[in-house]
Amino acid sequence: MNAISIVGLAHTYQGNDRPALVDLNLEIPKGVFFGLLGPNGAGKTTAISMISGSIHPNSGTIKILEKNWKEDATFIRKRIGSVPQDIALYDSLTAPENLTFFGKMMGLNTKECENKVEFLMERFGLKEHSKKVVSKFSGGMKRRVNLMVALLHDPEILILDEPTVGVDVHSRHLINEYLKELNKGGMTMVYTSHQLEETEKMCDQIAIIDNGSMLASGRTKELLESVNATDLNSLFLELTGAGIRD
Amino acid sequence: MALWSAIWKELLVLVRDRGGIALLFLMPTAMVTIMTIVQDAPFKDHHGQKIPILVFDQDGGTVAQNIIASLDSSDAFKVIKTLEEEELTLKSFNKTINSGDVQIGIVLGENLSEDLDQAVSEKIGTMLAIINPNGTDSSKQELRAPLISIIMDPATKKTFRISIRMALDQFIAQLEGRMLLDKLAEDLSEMSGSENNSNQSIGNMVNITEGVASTEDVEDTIASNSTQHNVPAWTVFAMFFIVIPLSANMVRERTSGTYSRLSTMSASIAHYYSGKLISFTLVCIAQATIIVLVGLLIFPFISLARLDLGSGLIPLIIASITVGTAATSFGLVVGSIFNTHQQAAIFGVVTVVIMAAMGGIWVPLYAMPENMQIIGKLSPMYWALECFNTVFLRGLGPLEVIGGTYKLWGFSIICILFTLFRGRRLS
Repeated sequence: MNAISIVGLAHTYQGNDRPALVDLNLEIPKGVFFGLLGPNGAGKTTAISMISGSIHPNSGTIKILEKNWKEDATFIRKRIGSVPQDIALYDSLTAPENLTFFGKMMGLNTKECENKVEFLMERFGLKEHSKKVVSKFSGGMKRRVNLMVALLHDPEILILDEPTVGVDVHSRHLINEYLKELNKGGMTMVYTSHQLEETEKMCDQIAIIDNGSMLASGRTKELLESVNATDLNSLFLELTGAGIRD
Repeated sequence: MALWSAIWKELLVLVRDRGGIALLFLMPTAMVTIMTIVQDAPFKDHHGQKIPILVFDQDGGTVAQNIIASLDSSDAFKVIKTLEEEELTLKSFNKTINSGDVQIGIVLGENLSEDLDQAVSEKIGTMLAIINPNGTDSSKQELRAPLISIIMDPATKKTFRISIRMALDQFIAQLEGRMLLDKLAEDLSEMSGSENNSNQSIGNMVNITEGVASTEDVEDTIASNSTQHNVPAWTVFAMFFIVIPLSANMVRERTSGTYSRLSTMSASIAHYYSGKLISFTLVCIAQATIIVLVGLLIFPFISLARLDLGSGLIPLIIASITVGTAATSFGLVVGSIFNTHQQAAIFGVVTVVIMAAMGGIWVPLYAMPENMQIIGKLSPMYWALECFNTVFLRGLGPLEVIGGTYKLWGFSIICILFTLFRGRRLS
């Protein structure tokens, strides 16, 4: 069973001539750690935003766990967790206050919420910072809370848009280890990052897109072998070219 | 559960912004206090404050002296007959008025006493000629009109000039009447050969009393003073300023990604907006409570009249909830339309100021041109002011207050529906 099936996805933002996505097709099996890669402006964030339901595509279909966004939005929302690239938290609230608010807005009851918040604060090493407001957190701590919000309702699919950008080595290690652990437990991961070494280590499967179109997709090892690339960096440059992207 | 959490989150965010919370509560309190003090003087004009009036007497006769004495002994005016730095001439008189040192002056024209005396004699002579055609001098003299000029500071407002003109007209009319009666009594005494013992007074023969309309339900009449008029007006103004922090809060959530995050969760858009509506309405009610408490507890200590709650606490709570909901609903609309803080803040401030000006917060609606009155009655801030006036000035009961709130509730419902529609599009 596929966790995510994308057929003919296309989108052009209002006021833009250039399409953000052109006829994108993708299948992500359940339980895999999937990396969606591409240079700046390739369309990764647009694709991820569509998968998580925050942008509606101009055309094409997205199925999450065989369900369609249009007809089964509530079912899908309860089963996916989304970690945006920006820190989407309330600066003047503490981490537990942020988590409790988002948890309850997702429909968790008080007990479930308390247990989950306590577990996540402990797991992500933030328990001793429970009384500190998020604005006083370091970048790495904010990233951890940003991820914790998406895990509150134990989603089946976790969508992560550059979750470790600007994070120090220790925080990154903590985040990545926990993501691997969750994946081993059966959670499907869809992950975008510019850190290709990290992606190579983490992901079972990858897709590389550029200019809104699919360049390659499949098992990481098979893709590297198909072009005799030694690592993901070489494969990436081989497929997208060496020119600077802004 | 989600709704309570949304309310709690909004209140926490508000409370943690200490600067914002101080502005939300201190600014309206300062504004209502200052405006009440500023407007206290005009309310007291009719209750003992004397307006200085510069008198330039070119006549020097008995009529002029009578006018000066009458003005000086009145409750309304304080007569100034000399200047401290220079001699009173027509030039220095005009200079003093023009500079605004004294706002009103009167020039009692040359030969005023003589001209008025002749005019009175002429009128009485004409009247007595009807009953005694042979007893009066029928020869007509050419009469000069007695002249009194009222000179005003150019900076005075028309309403002030009219009220001064009316007060002076009344003095002159009384003086003329007294002179006519004295002359009539003197001539009649001469004609009849009896002694003139009459001492006629030309006071008001009709008593005019002033009061405010009240219903049978209201036992005591509510005082009409600066406090009773300013507290409702500036409470409405302060409550509608909730538009600024609320719209800023909404724009910030959209730009920070929290709104987008909520839209990808199974969170209800109705809970999200209800949380904002309820929490910010509570802030509006808290603002109204603080302003009322200032009127009750602080005003008496700064020489202002103590606020009279009019209809009482329950009608006041009903009015506060209604106006707070309307103000917050309008804030939701502004917050859902604009994409930047600047756009939302400028639009919010300008619309609140326009609605306040149109709605009679600064100048009463009845004092505006007819067309503006029609437009003003469409302003939600006019409806809000009427709602509070029903409590503070008209002293009506809860049912009458509820009956007068339908327009504000209609406005709130339209704003909320628009916000939900707009919210669905944004998500």
